[in-house]
Amino acid sequence: MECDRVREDLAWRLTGEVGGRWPEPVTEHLGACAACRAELEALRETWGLLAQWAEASPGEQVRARLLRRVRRQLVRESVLTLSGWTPAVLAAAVGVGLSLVLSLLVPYSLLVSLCRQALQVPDSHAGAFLLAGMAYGLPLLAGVWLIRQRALVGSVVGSLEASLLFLVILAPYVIAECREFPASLRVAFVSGLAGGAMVSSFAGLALLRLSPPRREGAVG
Amino acid sequence: MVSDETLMQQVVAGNVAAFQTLYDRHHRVVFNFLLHFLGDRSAAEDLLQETFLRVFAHREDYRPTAAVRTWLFTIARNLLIDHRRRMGARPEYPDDEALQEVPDPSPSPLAKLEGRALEERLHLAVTRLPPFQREVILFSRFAGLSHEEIARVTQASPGAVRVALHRGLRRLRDLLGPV
Repeated sequence: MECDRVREDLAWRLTGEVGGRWPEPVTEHLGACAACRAELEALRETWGLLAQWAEASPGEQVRARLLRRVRRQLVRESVLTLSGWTPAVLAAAVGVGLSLVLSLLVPYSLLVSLCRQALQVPDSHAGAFLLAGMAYGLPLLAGVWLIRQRALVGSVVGSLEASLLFLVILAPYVIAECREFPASLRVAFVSGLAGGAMVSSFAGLALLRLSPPRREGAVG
Repeated sequence: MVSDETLMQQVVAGNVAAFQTLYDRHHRVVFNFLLHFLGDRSAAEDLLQETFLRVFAHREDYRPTAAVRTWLFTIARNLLIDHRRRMGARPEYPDDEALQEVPDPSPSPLAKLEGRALEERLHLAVTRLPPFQREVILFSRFAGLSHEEIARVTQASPGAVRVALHRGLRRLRDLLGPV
């Protein structure tokens, strides 16, 4: 076997790419050729020296800075891209659906009446409407929680988007349904709805943040 | 342990926790590759940050058929090339005199060189290698990439990687001195 051919193989084999025994022609050549043996030892020593090069770590601030930039990137994506709005749309859709189911199970007239009793206020008091509106806004929490794997909902911007969409979808329906009430009470109802949606989405955000941190092996 | 590919799928969905796990798992090898290639800690830290930021920004380009590690090093390498292009006006390699100036505490076998002096010599010697040989050696020694993976990252043939590894090691041995 030619020396050049053997020598070109030495580095390849030394770096651990090829496990197990070396081919017989190579070992035979090495046994017979002192120059190639010397080459092998020299390469081995050089390769070994490289292993002594101490491993370095970047400063902790690199990780912190990187994560800040990643979160900023998420916010940008959340606001500026269509896909960024998707989690908020999903959360709002689930919230609206559950809110409508709630309104079928507990009609607003009943809910307002219950709120009035709870607050012990007269018929025309806006407080009962505000509280009833809030109750219809709370299902958004379930929406945020159900799609928690979509990380953009786990941000302040995502929560605001989900609340906004929930309100944009539901407010016209509520206003139309409550048309027999004076404007001030309708405003109170919609304000309650907005308050409930905000409380829900931010409660969802807080729950997501308070969840046990996902460490290696538990990310999912 | 969750595989890199599973983590990457979660990162694609915008999962920052999965991204942190990926960073914690791979940042050190990427950093050491960059640091040993450049010999400039601050530039290596900047490029490390840019590498992972680009992973996140381009996460939707990731194809599950590719190994995350290979993709990561491809990005790091591209950034390194851009960085070197930007720094084009500056001398790329230290001159031979710089290598000679580093004291050799041991007159005979290099294996006896210790601590900082050895690191200095290694650093100067490695930065004297042609870029392709340098990256092939660093990928192989510090990133633990196989020749096949190095070929994919550098877009070279496995044969070219093999030759560069051999020539690089020989040149390194010559630069470090007689063994």
